[in-house]
Amino acid sequence: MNLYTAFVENLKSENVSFHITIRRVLLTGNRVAWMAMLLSFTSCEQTIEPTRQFITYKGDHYSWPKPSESLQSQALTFEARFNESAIYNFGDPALQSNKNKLMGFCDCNSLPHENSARFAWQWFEDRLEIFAYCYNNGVREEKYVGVVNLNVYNHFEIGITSRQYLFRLNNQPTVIMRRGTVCDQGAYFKLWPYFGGHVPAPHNVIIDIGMTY
Amino acid sequence: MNKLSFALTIAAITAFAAQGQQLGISLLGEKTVAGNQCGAQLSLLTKHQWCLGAFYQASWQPTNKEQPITHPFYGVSANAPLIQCDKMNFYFNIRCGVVNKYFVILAPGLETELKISKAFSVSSMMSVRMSYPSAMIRANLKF
Repeated sequence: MNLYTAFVENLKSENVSFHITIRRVLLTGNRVAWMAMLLSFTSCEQTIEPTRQFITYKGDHYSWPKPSESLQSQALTFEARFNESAIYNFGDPALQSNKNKLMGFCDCNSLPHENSARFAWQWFEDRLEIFAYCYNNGVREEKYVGVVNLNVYNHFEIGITSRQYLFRLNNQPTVIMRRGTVCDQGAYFKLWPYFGGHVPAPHNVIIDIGMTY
Repeated sequence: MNKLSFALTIAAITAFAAQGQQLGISLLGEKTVAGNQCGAQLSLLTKHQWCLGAFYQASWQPTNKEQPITHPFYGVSANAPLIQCDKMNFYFNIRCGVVNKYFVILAPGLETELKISKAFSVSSMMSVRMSYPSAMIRANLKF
């Protein structure tokens, strides 16, 4: 006789009614939801630490997880941390200088290769270089932004104005990129880490990203 | 095309309003990953418990005198009834609207309404905002 059977037999022997109905489940669920809600509202702190670890597995381009999220303010602000997995060597400078994408967004109702703004990175000459990487009416543009250290969080921000994207990395000077002609009101989907370029990840690449809302 | 979609929207709202049995006003508070928001909603309710409304909510920071209201979110909200008990109703809710003037978003959720009296009820809702769970409480008054 297993534990559950023993428990039910015990209940029966003591003439305890034992009914699980949809109504009871709903009522209990509702009570739990209300308690959670009240507890949640009594705190001024954020309920969740919005930091995610993105892993691009060996041989893949796209990272995991793949959340579906859209931008909701005029600035995309986040902290990102690379570790030793960002170090790679393809042996060919042309491949080594392929830009890997860190994070950004598609501009108003556009696809990534139409109008978008992202931070990109590459491991080049033994350092991790950060670039501003944009598509402006289908034309790609890149600009060097700076260098970051491994294993520390760095502050990234992409601001949007009517004609420009403003890229900020830590306290370094702002890099300005042109913005394509797009609508104002629409969906601005976020773009997450992507390895490549043409060559997929040579090993698992791990990036921690903490969003600032 | 814009005129056609506008005409269709007006026709749909008029058809819904024609079936409307009650008018509802709600005050709401929502806790999202980005902070707390408060606001209000005006709704039309049908006799089959469907609900269509317009809402406005924003983060209110009275200590910030330069910009006390931030991240305004306004749009339309629709409730579809899932289960109805004695004093309790469960709904699927979807909010579609604009945040910070430019950013169109969809926020699905599940709402539980607890009837206090014939005209007054309170609701709790779990929904998804910015891809994280958010919690909302709402006080509803029906006319």
